[in-house]
Amino acid sequence: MLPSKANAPHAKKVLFPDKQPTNSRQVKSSTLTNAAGLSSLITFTVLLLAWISGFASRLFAVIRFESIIHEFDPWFNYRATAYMVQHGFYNFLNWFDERAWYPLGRIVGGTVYPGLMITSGSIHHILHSLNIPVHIRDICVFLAPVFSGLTAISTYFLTKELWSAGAGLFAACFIAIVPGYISRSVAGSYDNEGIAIFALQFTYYLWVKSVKTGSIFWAVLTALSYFYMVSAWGGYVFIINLIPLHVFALLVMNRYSNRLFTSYTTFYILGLLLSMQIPFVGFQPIRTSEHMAAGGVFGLLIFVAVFRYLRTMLTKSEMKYFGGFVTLTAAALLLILVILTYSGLVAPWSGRFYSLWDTGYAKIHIPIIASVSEHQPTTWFSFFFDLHILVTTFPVGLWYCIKHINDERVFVVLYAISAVYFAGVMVRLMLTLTPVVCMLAGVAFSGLLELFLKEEDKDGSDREGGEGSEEESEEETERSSRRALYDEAGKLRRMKHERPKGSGDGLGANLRNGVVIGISMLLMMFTVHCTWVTSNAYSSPSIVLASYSNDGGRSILDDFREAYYWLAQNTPNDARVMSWWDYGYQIAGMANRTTLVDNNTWNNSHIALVGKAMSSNESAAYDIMTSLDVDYVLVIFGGMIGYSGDDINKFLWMVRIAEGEHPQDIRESDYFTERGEFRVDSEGSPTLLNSLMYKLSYYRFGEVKIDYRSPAGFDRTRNAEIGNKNFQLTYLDEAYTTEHWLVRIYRVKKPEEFNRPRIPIAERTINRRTSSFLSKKTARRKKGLIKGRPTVVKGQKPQKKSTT
Amino acid sequence: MIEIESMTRYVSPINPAVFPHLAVVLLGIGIFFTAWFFVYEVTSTKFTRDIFKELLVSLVAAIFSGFGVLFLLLWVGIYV
Amino acid sequence: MARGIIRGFIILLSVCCIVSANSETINNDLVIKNVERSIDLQSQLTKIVNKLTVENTGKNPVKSLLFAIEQKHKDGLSYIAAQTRDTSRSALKISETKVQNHPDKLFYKIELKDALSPGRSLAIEVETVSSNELVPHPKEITQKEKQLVRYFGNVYFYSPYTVAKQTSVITLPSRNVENYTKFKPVVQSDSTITYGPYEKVAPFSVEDLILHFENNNKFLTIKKLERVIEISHWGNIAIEETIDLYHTGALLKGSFSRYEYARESKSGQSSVQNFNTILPAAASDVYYRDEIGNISTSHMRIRKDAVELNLRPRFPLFGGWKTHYVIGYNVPSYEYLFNSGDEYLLRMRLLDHVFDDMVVEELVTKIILPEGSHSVKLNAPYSVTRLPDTLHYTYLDTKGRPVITITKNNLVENHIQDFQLRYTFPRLLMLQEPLLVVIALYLLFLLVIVYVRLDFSINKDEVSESKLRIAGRCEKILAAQDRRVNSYNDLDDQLSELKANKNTNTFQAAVKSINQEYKTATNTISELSLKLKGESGDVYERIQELQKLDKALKELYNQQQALYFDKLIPGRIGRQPFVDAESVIIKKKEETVEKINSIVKSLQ
Repeated sequence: MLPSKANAPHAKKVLFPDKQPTNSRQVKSSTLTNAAGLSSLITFTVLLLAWISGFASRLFAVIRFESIIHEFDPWFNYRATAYMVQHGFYNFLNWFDERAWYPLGRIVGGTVYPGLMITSGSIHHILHSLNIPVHIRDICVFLAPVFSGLTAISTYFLTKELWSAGAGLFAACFIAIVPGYISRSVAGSYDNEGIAIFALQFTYYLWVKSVKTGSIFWAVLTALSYFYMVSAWGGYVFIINLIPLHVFALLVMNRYSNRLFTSYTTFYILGLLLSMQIPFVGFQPIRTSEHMAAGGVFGLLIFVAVFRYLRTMLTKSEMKYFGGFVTLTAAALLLILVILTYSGLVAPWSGRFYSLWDTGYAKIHIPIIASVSEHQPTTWFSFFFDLHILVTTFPVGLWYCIKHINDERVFVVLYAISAVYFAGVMVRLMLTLTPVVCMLAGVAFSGLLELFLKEEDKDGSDREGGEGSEEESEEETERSSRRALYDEAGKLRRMKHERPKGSGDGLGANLRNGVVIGISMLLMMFTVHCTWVTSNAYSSPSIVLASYSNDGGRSILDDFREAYYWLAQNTPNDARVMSWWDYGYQIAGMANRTTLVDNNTWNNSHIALVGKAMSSNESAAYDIMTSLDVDYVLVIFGGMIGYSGDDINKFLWMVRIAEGEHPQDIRESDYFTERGEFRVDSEGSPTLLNSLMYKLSYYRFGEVKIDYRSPAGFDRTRNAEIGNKNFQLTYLDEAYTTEHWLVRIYRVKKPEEFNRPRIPIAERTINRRTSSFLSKKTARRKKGLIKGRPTVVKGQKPQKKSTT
Repeated sequence: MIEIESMTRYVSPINPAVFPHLAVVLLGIGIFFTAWFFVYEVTSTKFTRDIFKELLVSLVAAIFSGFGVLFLLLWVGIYV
Repeated sequence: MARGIIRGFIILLSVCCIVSANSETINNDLVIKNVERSIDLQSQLTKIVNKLTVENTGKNPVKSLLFAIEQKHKDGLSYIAAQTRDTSRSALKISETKVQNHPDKLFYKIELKDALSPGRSLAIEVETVSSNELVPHPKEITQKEKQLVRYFGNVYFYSPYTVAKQTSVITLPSRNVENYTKFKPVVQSDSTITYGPYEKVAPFSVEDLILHFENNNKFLTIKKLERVIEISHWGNIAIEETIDLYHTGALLKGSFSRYEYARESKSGQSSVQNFNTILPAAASDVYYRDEIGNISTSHMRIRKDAVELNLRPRFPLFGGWKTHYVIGYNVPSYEYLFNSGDEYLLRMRLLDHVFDDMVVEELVTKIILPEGSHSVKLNAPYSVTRLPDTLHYTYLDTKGRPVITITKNNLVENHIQDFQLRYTFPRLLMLQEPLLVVIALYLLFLLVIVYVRLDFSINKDEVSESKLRIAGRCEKILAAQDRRVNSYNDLDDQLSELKANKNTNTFQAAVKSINQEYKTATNTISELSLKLKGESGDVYERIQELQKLDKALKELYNQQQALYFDKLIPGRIGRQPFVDAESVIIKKKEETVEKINSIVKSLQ
């Protein structure tokens, strides 16, 4: 942080004396005008402002609604944090949550990345030991915005290491407000990503630093930071593959150095040991294929080191043998690895990993992954939406880096390329792309401004640009003072654009001003876009909905909390609630009731069982529900107010997941009409119209007339009059329905409570399997038809972690 | 024991209406001195440091920021 | 369970009473001439107003009389008060007591202001409020049905004395009465039922009265009300109430249908959708929330004398349903806090309004005093239990704020009364909080000061170290040089003044101090430069050069001064020669300054 002290006198500005003819005065020197102080003050101020603006722009949801945990996963994290705060860390690690996955339960301590909980728990602990009684919920809500400031700072440092302090400041400002990162770190979005991006950037900064210095100290810090990352997010796999890739690339580029050897070996050994301390990770780092690359590179690096060492001692002919030996050993190791994989000692790639390479993989093999909207491939639109001008300027920065390549720039190039690929595969991985885009765009803008803001006299430069160049020159001197420590890779460091010869760069003042104004306009538009996106797309808590009437008045639809609070207050404490897995975490978090399935989708067959219950008819479902001891069933129904993310729209995924496990009972084709359509009106398939989900959603809805133009029972989400009206429920009882019918809760009757309706034999009709006809179409083609049907209603935020 | 009739109604020694102004002014001065302090720390070297100047500037910074923080707390509704 | 606790509590109270007061006897000289009893059953409470006319038929003046409560009404009794019925309507002291031979009944002793002399009569009024006496019957109703309740009472006024004449008027919420005890004479008209008049009723006579009628009013009970009053001497009192609300009416049978609830007005008549809470007029920053956040369905209306809050729980409350919420607000301290020197007195409501005709099963009021308060004295309006004091830690606390905790069971609206709490708080302690922050920040700065002095490096970098040292020396020299420059500038000012005023005396005086400063600065520079000699010959040389030039400059100044002194002031020189001489000096000065500047520049 501190600019090097050695060059302080060097950089001091000279103030010329004012030469009045009568009274000539002498020069005075003053501390505040000296450049080191000024530049560190400016750096500090810019970073502070970046932090503040990043924090402030994440507060839309808090200001519009309240300090509340958003969405789905954050509710689990919040609940786990609250548990840890209440019961202590060791009890948290040993926590067996019997309120989830009834009757299986879940060992939370061993199946969760505890970094997030520990972070906010320790903040809570510190504040409370200082008698600052902040509620743990508020800490959780504001954790991600606070950490976004830390991310900005670590991005500054990383970019400063890679390029220059000016570029670092740009990058810090970008990452503070870029929507691609804000989407996961708004206030209330209490999720692993919120702190993991900070850990990611900080680890990379330390890694670059350690590669540059070759010091064990930095390498150890890298390992510690990596440990924090491992404890925080599953995305640590990205680090443990990218750093070895960097090392590998450097080896291939013949950039091996002792610095590299020191830093990687230290980092790998320590990082490996530390990462295995996280219970959820356990022995994975040595037993799964995802982690094997790191080990391989470790071995390779040692071989190269030995090779280099031996080369100084052996003759050329001896080296030949040695080369053969190396090849043999490498082949043997690979063989051992393959054998181990086959014998099951080393786990092969996991399904989620495969889906990164083959985007169609999940659709065929793991419908539950494919059903989550954030696992869909990214559209071009969302690149622009999340990154705006950065997506167009970051190739420029990338080009600069390739042009002036050195050890650490190899790293950022690899980072950029791999992140772009992964972001293209999954919407969710936009998040890992965002930091590198910000850094490279910072490099690009810094380069541009340096070129165009360089005035004839050095002092009159604009604040940002001038600052950049100043720091640049400072760093340059710093580097030259340490030149002795650098290897040949450092020789490329002097940049071409950095020293334009006087004003001889052939740029007129008008052109300069034009470009500078243009850049400022771009940056301004970027800011406006960021604010707009944050405000409109990423700041909805999704458990509180707001609707706007024509006169601009706002009404709040608080149905979710209404229902959850009803469950919390008016059902027995041990009641078991069945719902689709999307709502599991919320029910556990807000209603504190036992759920069957939740967003931790670890047990596919259990989810399929719930899906089967939802898709079967009432009596078949009753059997499943009694076997699972279900007391209440909760469904989300948006037909009354036109909420598109409801259970009927997710219904096909339930059917598909159920079909995957119970193909003999549930067939997806039964839920389509003859023409292969999914419709809820009278032409819909009878199986659908009699399924439990349909009945629970539409119970007594047939009597409702929303307005005088539409018929009774008109579903506003699907724009159809429902096909099955005026039915009664035999095995369930409406227990509660919220004000806008968004959440409907049913009580499962006990066997003694219902009387099976006695129908005289004469009036009995025998229900045949209604879908005895066979469609000409294959199931596959029908599927295609449904997929083409858009189910997302505009104006609605894409559901995170929920089935589309 | 004093009867309630002879007591006066208790008002804050500082009018709550001026809390925001006080907070802004005091914090402003405090931040100025803090900045001065840190710039001094950054720019001075081992041989040019003056401990008395450091202590004095930081004391002024601490006093102004301290009272500023208090009034900030009171302003935002944390009545300590 | 709760009932058991209440009973235990009452027993405890009665035990206390036995210890404190001797048991009474019934004075048979007293006769109640007339009783007009009105029983109000419109809400969930039983509010009975007994208007008695008591006559002393004996020979001795009577100081007190007794009021009896039946065994079965003992538990429900929540509030009792007595007052005279004359124009003053002054309250009479009433206390629980024991009566010989009647251990099963509950007695209250009403103490009269003036003894009732023989033959005279007195009109008094006794008001009782009881809760939980209206029992829903049937116990469970469906959403569509209306709520019916039963009341078990006594046709007669329950009295330890003979009653000459009595009537009872029962007011019901509606005319829908299923059934009532027909003990003649009885008249039902609209929503009132009148029993009596009955004459000559013996003491303790009981005639069962059973009423079965429709009552769709709010049957809400506050199971627990925790009221926290936090006093800040910065001018604010924060109040927070945590409320456990329970619908104690007939339980909901079967399903709840939102469709019917929304469409049919008759559906869910006994349910509670919202209620009004009245807060003090000065209340501000009101919040209404529960564990999962804000309850967005509430409206606030500011009236002249109160803030009316229309609260809607998240869901309508049906029989057997419960909810839980927190409501909080701030009031300025001058509304409730009084002081005289360091003595403070807080006068506030022990219990505040939650909804009309409320029943509070358990009240816990906590008063958090500022840190450092002591000698606390509580004066409650009615008998309460004071729990042991605790400490509360919040922002900027060190040893904790004292918390006074008061609890009482079974309260109704009549219990909304002021308590008085006296305490002593040294005013100087208010400075503790800001000073705490100041000290914390100062420690932080000290940490920085210490940190920059720490050196963790294993090997010393001699080159940069000496560079730094030289730079530091240079800086000091330059600072001295600055001082010297200042002295020159001052001298310039003085000289020009001298030229204009020709006042030698003031000049002499001023120049003396300037020269003093100059001398010290020059000495500092030469001392510092000596130290530099060993470290960097180059810099040392430059400083020597600087000193030499400076000497020359000083000499020039002396020349100028001499020119002014010797020639100009005595007038020994003509205008033109003086100007010439001065310009020569000034030119030389400029040249020297140029050189000095270049050296200074090189030193920076």
